[in-house]
Amino acid sequence: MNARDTRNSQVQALSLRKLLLPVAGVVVVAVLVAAALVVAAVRGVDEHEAEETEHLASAAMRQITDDLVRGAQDYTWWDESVRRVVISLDRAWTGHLWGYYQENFRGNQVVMALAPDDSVIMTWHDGRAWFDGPPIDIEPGLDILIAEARAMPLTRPDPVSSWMLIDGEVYAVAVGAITPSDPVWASAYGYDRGVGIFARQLAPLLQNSVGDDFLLDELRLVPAGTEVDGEFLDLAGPTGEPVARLAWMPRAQGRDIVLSVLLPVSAALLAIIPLLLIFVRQALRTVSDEVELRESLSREREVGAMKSRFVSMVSHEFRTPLTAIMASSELLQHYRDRLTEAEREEELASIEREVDRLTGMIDEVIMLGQADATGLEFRPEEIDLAARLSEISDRALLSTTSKSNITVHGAGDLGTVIADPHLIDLALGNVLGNAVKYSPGGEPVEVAVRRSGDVLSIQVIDRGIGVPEDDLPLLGRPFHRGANAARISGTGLGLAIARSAAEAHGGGFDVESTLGRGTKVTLRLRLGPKTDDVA
Amino acid sequence: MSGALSILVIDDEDTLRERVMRMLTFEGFEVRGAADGRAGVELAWEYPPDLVICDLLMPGINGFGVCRVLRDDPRTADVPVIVLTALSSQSDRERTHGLGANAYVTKPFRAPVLIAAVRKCLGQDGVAGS
Repeated sequence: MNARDTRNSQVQALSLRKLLLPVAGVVVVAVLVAAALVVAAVRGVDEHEAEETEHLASAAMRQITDDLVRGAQDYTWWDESVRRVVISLDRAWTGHLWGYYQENFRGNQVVMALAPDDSVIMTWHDGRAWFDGPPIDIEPGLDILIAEARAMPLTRPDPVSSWMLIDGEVYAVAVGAITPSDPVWASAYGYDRGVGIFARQLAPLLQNSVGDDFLLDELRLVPAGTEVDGEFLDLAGPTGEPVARLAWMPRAQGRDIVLSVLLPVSAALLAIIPLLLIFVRQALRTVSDEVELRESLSREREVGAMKSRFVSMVSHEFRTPLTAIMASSELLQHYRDRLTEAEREEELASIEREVDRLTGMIDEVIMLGQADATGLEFRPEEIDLAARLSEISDRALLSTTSKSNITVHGAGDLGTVIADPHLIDLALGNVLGNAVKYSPGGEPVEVAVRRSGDVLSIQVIDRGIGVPEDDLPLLGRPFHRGANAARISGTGLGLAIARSAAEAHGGGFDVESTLGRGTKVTLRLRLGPKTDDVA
Repeated sequence: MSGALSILVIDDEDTLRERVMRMLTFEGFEVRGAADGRAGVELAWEYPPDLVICDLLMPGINGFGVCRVLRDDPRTADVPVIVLTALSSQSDRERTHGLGANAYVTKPFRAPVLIAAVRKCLGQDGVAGS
């Protein structure tokens, strides 16, 4: 009975609340709007700015692509010798124009170089550079920026900038003059000057700043190396040296406005505090629903992005060995008589190598599918770690044409340990394989093994090409490859598998890397109990 | 052999480029190779070939850029270009056509198909391949 009474009173309270909600909502909104109007009049808040803020806010709410964020290897995007994108930097970013691209650029940053006739010479998008990018319609907002940039004296081509909505997402867009001083291109195009457009999606900032803070401040240009709070972007000068840092931060002003709204009308609000509380509670519930929705959208988008990375990987990485196999078999079929016996043997061996490479890639995809579906199985046994390491090293060296040496430190003291040899092969094999593969100059690779309690830590240190800072958080995500890895063949699955294997072994891994200097991966594996103890 | 028609092969995959070059050599052509777009363009300007075979997806200056630059320069404006690529979409095909490429062969490819395209571009349609 008591329970039913309680339920009845809950139901009544609910209906009451349902009735009260619209009333409360209307009252609170009316008070807030009135107060905002008063404050706006008093403080002279520009109507345009308010509208713009609203735009930013609503766009911010749509931001769900934080995972895709790359960033700041900007202005080094061209072929080495054409890196003359002079962005000189004592002028603050100005203007709050709005514009749209028609193109559906789904990545995070888009860089375009425009010729004086506004034809696209090149676009840089999603880690790849394309000459002769797709045609774009230049809408009025961007047009104005381009005209402004073009009007700058060539000796001091300052960037001009704006916020822009590109395909529904907010980007910071900078436009600056480009001098293609490379003689090849200058003569090819007959251009002495073009315009570079750089756009960067603002997802991380906007996403992390739900609430008042999603209001954005203007960008600030500060001297290179200046410490800044919040997001920044390093810009390079004509010779590639950093010349300035572009920083943008949440704007406190948004909160100021809210505070100054609240203070003058606090008396009025006091009178309706109970209603306000109900309203706030409802609003919070809506926000939490929205957060949930955004999370699920974000997952959906991540799956979509993974799918497209997969298709792109298959179309390129699988076709490459297939093409090599076909080329060898065609040589054998149509030109057999012209080949020496040794050359025929070499073609056959090449076919075998490429088939192995293809099989390896297929195995990786299957393995990852299995890890995803059921997790990798953990089967510990007693193994001689030093011997295992040496085997894995040999295999890593065989798998590439790199001339790197692998030196192992500290394995001698370990003797036998209880671990899953297959998982260790997968985890360490992939990490070591990467270390060798991404050291194309044959730079030495070092492995340091240490045991602390039941945790085995294995550090793999290379002095190879490194990982761009913005790719670091995305490593280990299936099919994701660093922006600088395009030249080196790979599926983008190695670290994903290494991670699954390490996790199945009760561990994980950390990656530290400096672009152009090398990478340090620390694998941690939890060693199993002695087999005797288990029995 | 002197007087042979010359072909420039631009592809960043070394093993494939070498095999294509070998096939063309067996067919009696004089062959040069370049491992990226930039080297290819420079080689084409230095020794204008009778035909260029070019990959599309290459680091740096890619095949689209190569097509455009070759067409824009008087030394190579008339040299036929065969695109040899893993990109198989109609839009890529049309795009290279728009940039002046004469033929499009997708990877993996069969030798007789490539050789037939080469002979056609060189106006040797009647000459039998191997």
